[in-house]
Amino acid sequence: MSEIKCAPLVFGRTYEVDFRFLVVPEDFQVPDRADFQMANQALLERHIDATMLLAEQLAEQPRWSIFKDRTHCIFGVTCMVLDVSNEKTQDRQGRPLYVFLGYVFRSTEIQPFPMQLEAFRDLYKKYVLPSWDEKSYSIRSKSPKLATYQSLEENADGLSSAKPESLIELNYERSKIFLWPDLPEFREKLWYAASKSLKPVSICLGLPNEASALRGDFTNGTTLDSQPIKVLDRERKVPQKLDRSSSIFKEDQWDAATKACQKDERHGETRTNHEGMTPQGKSKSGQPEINPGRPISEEIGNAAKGVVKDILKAFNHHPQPERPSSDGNTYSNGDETYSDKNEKSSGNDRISQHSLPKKKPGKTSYSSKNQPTDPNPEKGIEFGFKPKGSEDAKSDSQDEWF
Amino acid sequence: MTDNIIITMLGTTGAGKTCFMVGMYAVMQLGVHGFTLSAQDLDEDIELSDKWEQLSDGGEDRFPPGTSATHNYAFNFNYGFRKLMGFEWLDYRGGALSDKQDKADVQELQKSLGQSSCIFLCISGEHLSTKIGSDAIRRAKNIGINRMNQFLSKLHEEKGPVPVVIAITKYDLCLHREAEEIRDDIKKLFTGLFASSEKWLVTICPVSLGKGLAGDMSHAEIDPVNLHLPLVFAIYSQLTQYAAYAKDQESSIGKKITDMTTKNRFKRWLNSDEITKANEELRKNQALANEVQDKLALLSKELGRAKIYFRGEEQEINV
Repeated sequence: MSEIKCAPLVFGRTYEVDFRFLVVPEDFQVPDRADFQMANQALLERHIDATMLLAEQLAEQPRWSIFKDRTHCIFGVTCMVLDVSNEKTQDRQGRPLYVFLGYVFRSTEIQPFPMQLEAFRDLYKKYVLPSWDEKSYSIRSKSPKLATYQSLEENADGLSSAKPESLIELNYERSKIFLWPDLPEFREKLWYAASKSLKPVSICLGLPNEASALRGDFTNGTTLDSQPIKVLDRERKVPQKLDRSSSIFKEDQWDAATKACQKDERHGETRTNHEGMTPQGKSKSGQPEINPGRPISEEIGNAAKGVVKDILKAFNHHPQPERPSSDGNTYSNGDETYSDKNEKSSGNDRISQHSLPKKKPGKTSYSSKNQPTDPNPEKGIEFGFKPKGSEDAKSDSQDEWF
Repeated sequence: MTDNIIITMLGTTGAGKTCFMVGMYAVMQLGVHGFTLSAQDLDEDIELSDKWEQLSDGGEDRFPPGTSATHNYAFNFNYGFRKLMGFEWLDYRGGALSDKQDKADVQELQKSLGQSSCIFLCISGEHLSTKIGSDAIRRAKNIGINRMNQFLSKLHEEKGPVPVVIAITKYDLCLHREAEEIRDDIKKLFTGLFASSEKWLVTICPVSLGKGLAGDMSHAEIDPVNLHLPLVFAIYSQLTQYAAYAKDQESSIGKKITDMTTKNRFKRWLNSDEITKANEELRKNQALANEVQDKLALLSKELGRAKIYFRGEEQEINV
């Protein structure tokens, strides 16, 4: 049996220098390769960042995580430094520090690493304390130390061989996150399943809430506010309908999960309907609807005008402005013109040259589209400011200013 | 799809960016002259409110730990609880200001900056507690001014000047100094923003979570000063540009109406729809311009004490 080796991975901040990788395995410096995604710093950071959201709540409990790709598996804990060290626990501003401490294995299927802070304590001592006084300008602070893979005994206390009584199936889709209640039973099962998984997967135990679970890249997790089990879709940001045929859940989890989602499904449907609403005055196909309120005589008059305009155009007489859109008073987009998009405008057409913003005063918010694309503070200056008179420009006291 | 404008705050680690955002949100939730702030995401509202409560409660751990993860907050600026303008605000690791471009959060910061309608420069009062002299270069380095200027230079190149707020956070740490002297120091540090040939609209704004914090960070009362002003200035500047645009539109529509109505009767008949539409549009545009003007007037009440400069020349509010 081959010897199990691992290398340290530490992401934290020191007294003066902000969050960064302090140590990474030697093979993480290899430029991005398709088969070696974990070396991608952005991917690593996304996972680690997600464990650090609402960091002030880390004082209540550390967050345990596993993330693995096809070649590497990382076991880590994000915790307050006070949990693993009695010294160097605050930064220059006196703020309490937190840190991610992890071990990287060059293998995917591994026995679970023990969920004990004791096993990670040495990493802080070994890799953070020596870097404590680094300055932001020093070269050493710009790139992490490289660590070799060493036998497990030198790095930690060894892997657990305990196996939970029943297993749990994990979610592998990155667009979703399955959330379980933060109970010992689920934590243990998730930890075990993720450790043994042969496929790329990630879990974080003890996420602060559903909103922060959606922000990160984890595909599975536990949160304090997930009762009992939820599936969140990152794109829709709402709990998703569960499908029994997908065999995502074991039978004994099914009822609880379905019950949880029935309640939220209604919410999801409402949202879909809301998002699916078509703009006022347009049919679902996107075609403008005929204004039902317009009198027939007016329609005939407009048709007559259209015919005359066509004739004039055909004879290349003086170009006329475009026929206005039939949607009348439907103003959904701040920077569209009044002209009917289906009708080509003449080059000399004055109305089409000047796009008119369609705003309903008093009913819509001001939009960034409501101003020139090229910002010009000078133009706005005359509407809100004027140079201060010399007699007024005398120095003010602290009280007047602050 | 939102119509959010983007506001980006530049500041080094420990400058007080997160606390400023939390404080600004708490103050503006209560509102000023009917203007209020609300988070577009209700979970973020809870998150920010919790942070504010923790700050207010006091104790050794009252201040939030340093930020490691980048997050984009979206807010609504409301009048009478009706949304006037949405804006996005990036909270990020201060170290990103001085890191290499290959880091994801540095790229995110640069992207946000390039789309910003207003920039807040966050200067901690701890760096201004004494007069700047021969140590200007060292201080500038500590504040991160070199990088800020670098970012502003890039922004100017790509987008042109935008309104800038120089927020002096933790101002309680330099309360003992003369206000004028502090402003002079700021001008020395950001000479480019006060150049007479450039169109930078700048305000220098002292802010603090409480005047007593300099003496006792853990237990002094939280009593925010001016935390709302930078945002009020940002919105005010944005509205002045809307007002200018509305004025341009008014002239343009007016000209079109004149052109169409001075033609012969047949052409007036032929163009009658366009004339009606243009008149209606003119009326709406005027109503919008009036509304903008009203809001400017309301916001201007808050900016009376603000120190505002354009092309290096001090300005006063004029609505």
